[in-house]
Amino acid sequence: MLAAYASQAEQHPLAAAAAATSAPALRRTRALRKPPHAAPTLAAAPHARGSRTVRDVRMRANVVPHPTPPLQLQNAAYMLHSAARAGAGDGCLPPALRHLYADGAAAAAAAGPAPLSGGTPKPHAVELLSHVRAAEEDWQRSIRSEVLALAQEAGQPLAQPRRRGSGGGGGGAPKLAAAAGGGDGDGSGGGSAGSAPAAAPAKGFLFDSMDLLDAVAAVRTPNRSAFLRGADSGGGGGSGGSGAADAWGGLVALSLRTPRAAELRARFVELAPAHRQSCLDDDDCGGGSLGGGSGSGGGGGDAQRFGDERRAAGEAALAGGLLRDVRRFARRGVPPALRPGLWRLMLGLPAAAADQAAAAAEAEHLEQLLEEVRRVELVTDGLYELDVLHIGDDDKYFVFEEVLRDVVMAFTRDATVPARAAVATHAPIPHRIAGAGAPRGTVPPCGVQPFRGLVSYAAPLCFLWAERAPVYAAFRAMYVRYWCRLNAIRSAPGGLLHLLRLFEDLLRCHHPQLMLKLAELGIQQPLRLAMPWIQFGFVGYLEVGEVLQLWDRVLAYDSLSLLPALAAAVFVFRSAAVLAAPDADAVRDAFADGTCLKAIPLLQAFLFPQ
Amino acid sequence: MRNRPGWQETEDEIDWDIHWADVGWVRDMYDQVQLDDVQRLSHFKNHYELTRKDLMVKNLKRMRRQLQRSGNAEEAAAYNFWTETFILPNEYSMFIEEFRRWPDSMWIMKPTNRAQGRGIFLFNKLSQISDWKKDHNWRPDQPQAESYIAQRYIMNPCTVGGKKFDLRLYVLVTSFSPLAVWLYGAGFARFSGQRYTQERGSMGNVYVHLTNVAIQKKAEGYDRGVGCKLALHALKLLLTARHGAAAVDELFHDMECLVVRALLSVQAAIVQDRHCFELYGLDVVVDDALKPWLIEANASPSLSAEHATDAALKRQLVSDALDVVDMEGARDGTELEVGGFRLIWDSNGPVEQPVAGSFRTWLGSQHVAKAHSR
Repeated sequence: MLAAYASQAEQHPLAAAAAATSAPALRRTRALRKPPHAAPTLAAAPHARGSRTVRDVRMRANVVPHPTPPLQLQNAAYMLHSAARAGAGDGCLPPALRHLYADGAAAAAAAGPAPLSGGTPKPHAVELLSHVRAAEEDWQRSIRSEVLALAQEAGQPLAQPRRRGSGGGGGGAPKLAAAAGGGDGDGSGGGSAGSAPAAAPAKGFLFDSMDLLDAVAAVRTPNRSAFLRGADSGGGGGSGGSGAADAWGGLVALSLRTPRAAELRARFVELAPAHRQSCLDDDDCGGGSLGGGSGSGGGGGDAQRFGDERRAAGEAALAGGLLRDVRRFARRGVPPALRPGLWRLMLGLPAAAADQAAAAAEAEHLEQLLEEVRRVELVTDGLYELDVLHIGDDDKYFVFEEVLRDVVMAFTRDATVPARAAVATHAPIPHRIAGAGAPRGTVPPCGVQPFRGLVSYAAPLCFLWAERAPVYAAFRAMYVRYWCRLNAIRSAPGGLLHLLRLFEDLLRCHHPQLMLKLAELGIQQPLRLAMPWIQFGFVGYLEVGEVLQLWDRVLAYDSLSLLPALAAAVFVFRSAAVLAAPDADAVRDAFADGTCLKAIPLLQAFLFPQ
Repeated sequence: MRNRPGWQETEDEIDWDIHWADVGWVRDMYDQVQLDDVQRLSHFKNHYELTRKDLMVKNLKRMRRQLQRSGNAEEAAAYNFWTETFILPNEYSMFIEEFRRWPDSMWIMKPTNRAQGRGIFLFNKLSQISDWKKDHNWRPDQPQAESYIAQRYIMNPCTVGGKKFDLRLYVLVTSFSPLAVWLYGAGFARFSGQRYTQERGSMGNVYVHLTNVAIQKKAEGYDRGVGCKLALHALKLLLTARHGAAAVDELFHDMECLVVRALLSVQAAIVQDRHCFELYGLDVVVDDALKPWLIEANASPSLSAEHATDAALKRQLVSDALDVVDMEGARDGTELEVGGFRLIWDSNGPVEQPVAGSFRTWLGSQHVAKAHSR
C-alpha cells in the first residue's frame, strides 16, 4: 500500500516536496492520507504562518505557478483565434466554421441547417410547466386532427406530386385563373418568371387567432385552490362564450411574473419623450395628419438637423456592421432609406451586394423552394392561398399579392425552419410522398400549418425590398426569431402566455376602471379585441409606416414586449370613447380602425406619463 | 357641403352662392349668367385650354418656344415633362416623320374629347392605324371631325409588385392672373390589374397598360372591396426604401414643379374671373428613372369613391377646397396651408414651403384618416 502511495506521491507535486524532506515514513503516510488531488489553499500553506523552511519554499514554488491544464474549447471564437495564431489563412479554417464563410447553396446544404446564432440556448424549446405542456399538446392535437380531417374530406394524401394543371385554379376564383395564366406563361417579362402556381383556395380556415386564444384560456393551473377557481364560473357565466375567467379578471390563468411599468421604463429607456425619435421628430415622415399642420413647423431647421444627424449615424452604423451599434441606433427609429440595410444586419442575414439584393445563397435557396412548390402539392395549399387572397383585400398590401404568394408558398416548403425556430409552432405530421424513392418528410416541411394572417408577417417587408429573395430571407429570419413565439403556447418570459399576461396586467394596473366598464358592457376580455393586434405585430391595424417603426424597435430591443404595451396604450388612448359607450358594438367600432394611430407617440405616452 | 354649418342646398338656377358645376353647365350657361360679387363657380370659362389633351400640349409647346426665344434656355429645357405629341389631323405629316425616325417605339392614340380611357389604343406600326384612319373621320374638312393625339408611349414605367401605376394629384387654382396654386398633400396611385410587360402581344390588353379605374373595374378579378388604389404616402415610403430619400425627394419636387409649369403655360390663355376657382386632377406617370411625365389634367376629377379610404380622401379634399375658397370668411387671407392644401405659387412667384426638411415638398406626406363612425 505504501508502494501505491509512493507511486502516487511521485506524481503529486506536494508529495515530491514532502518526499524531499527527510521525514520518517510514518509522518509521510499521515501526510499522504489527504486526498492526493486536493490542492492546498494558500491560506493553509505554511508560509502564511511565516515558516521559511526549505520544504515550505519548495512547496510554494510548486503550488503557485500551476501549469496550464490542457483545455479543449469548442467555442467558435476560440477556434478561430487559435487558427489565426497558428498562422493559418482562410483556407485552413476549421471545418466546423467553414460553413459560416462559404457561399453558395451547396455549402449551406452540406452544413445542414445553420444554428440560429452559434447555438444559443432556446428558452422556449421545452415547456417546463406541465399543465401548460398539456394545454399545448391538446392544441397541437386539435390542429393535427383538423389537417387529417381535411385530407380525408378532400380524399387526397397529405402530400403528392403535383399533377399538371392541378394548380391552375380548378375551382378557384377567376382572379386566380388570370394570375395563374400570367404566372405560368412565358410571356410575363418582368420580375418573377415562373411564380408559384396558385392553388384553389379553401372555404375556410382550420383555425385562427380566436382558437389560439381559447387554447390559451384553457390552460388550468393546479396550483390554485378550487375555492379561488370556483369564483370563475360565477363571473364568467354572465357573458356568453368567453370561457372561464381568472378570479382577477384575466384570460391568462397563470400568475406569471410580468414586468412592472417601472421595469419597462428602465428597459425601453430610449423611447422616453426626452429622446427625439427618427420618423417622428425629424423631417422624414412628414407629420401631416388629418388637417395638416404638424407641430414641427416651429422647429423646422432643428428637425432637419436631427434628420441629418440620424442619417449620418445610421450610415456609420451600417458601414461599421457591429450588431450592438446597429441595435443601439435603431432603438430611436430608423430613417426609411436605411431600413433595408439595417434590418439585414439586425436579423443576422449574410451581406448582400446591395441593400436591395439578397445574398446569392438566399436567391438560390428560394428558387429551389419554388421548384419544390411546383413539384409537390400539399393538401393545405388551398389554405395558404386563401390567406394570400385575404391580404389582397387590404388596401395597403394588395399590390404585392403575387410576391407574397411566392414568399408564403416557398416558406411552407422550407425544411430549415423547424431547426432554426426558437419554438416549434405546430407539431409536424410525418408523411412519405407516394412514389418510389421519395424521402420521408413532414407535412408541411416548415412545421407551420396554415392560419389566417401568416402572410401578414411578410406584407410590410414588401415595402422595403422590391425583389422576392430579400423579402423571403427577412421573413424567414423574423419568423424563426420572433413570430413563432406568438403562435405556440409557452409560459417562459417572452412566450405567448407571458406577453398576453403582460397586456392584461398593464391594462389592469393602469386603468382598472376601463376593465370594469368593459366587463359591464359584456366584453369580458379585452384580450379578445387585442389578440389579432398582438399576434400579427399590428399589421392590418396600423398604417404601414407605423408598423415599420414599431418593428424597428422590436428588432432593436430584440423583444416582443412592446406589442402588448402598445395594445394597452391603444386601449388607454380610446378609454374616453369606451367609458362613454352605450354598448359593446360601440366599443368594437371605436377599436375598428387604427389607421389614424401613431405607434411611437402612443408608446411614449403610455410608458412615460408626465 | 351639406355637413357644413349654415349652408343649404338649392335647385335654383340663379340664386346660389356656390355652384359646383359640371363642365356642360359652364359651357352652356356661363355667357348668359351675370355673377354677383359673392357667388363662386367651380370652373373657369375656358378651362379646356388645360384639360383637353391637344390644347394642353399646344400651350406647353408655345410656352417652351416663348422661353427659348426670350433667351431663358434653362427654364425652356425644364419643359420636358411630356412625351412627343402630335395633334392629328393637323400634324399628321410631322408625326409620320417622327414615327419613321424611331422605328421601335410604341405610340398611343387618344381621342381628345373623351374621358375614362375610352377610345385609347397602342400601336407601333403604321399599318395598325390604317383601320382607324378609315373608321374615324379625322380629315380636317369633315365638320364633325374628332381630333386625336398620337403620343409616344412610356415604355419603361416604374412598377411596383410588377404592376404599372399612375399618380393622381389634386391642384386647386383660385385665380389665374395673378396665379395662385394650392397643391394637395395627399393623392393616390392607380394600379393596373396585371403585371406590366413590354411584350408585343400585350399591346391590345388594356388591363396592362391603362390605369383608369373605369377600365380596370371591368377586369376579371377586380376586387370591388379594395379597388386598385394605393395611397401616395405609402408609395412614397416604398420608393424611399428602394431608391433612397434623395431620389424620391427629387421626384416629388419635380412633380411639384411640373404642376406649376403646366399652369404657367396656360395662364395667359385662360380668361380670369374672380368668381371662379377650379380643382384639377392631374395624372402623372413615373418612369423607372424616377422622372415624372404629365399625362393629362382633368377639370372634373372623379369625386365618387367605392371604398372607405378613397371616400375619406375625397371628402376631405372637397371640404378643404371649400375652406380655401373661403366663402364663410373664416380665413384671413395670408395662410400658406389650409387643411391639406399648401400654397405653392402666388403673385410673387414660388412660395417658401413652411418646413425645410429632407423632403422639399409636402406632396405625399399627407395622411388622411378614415372618419370615425361616431
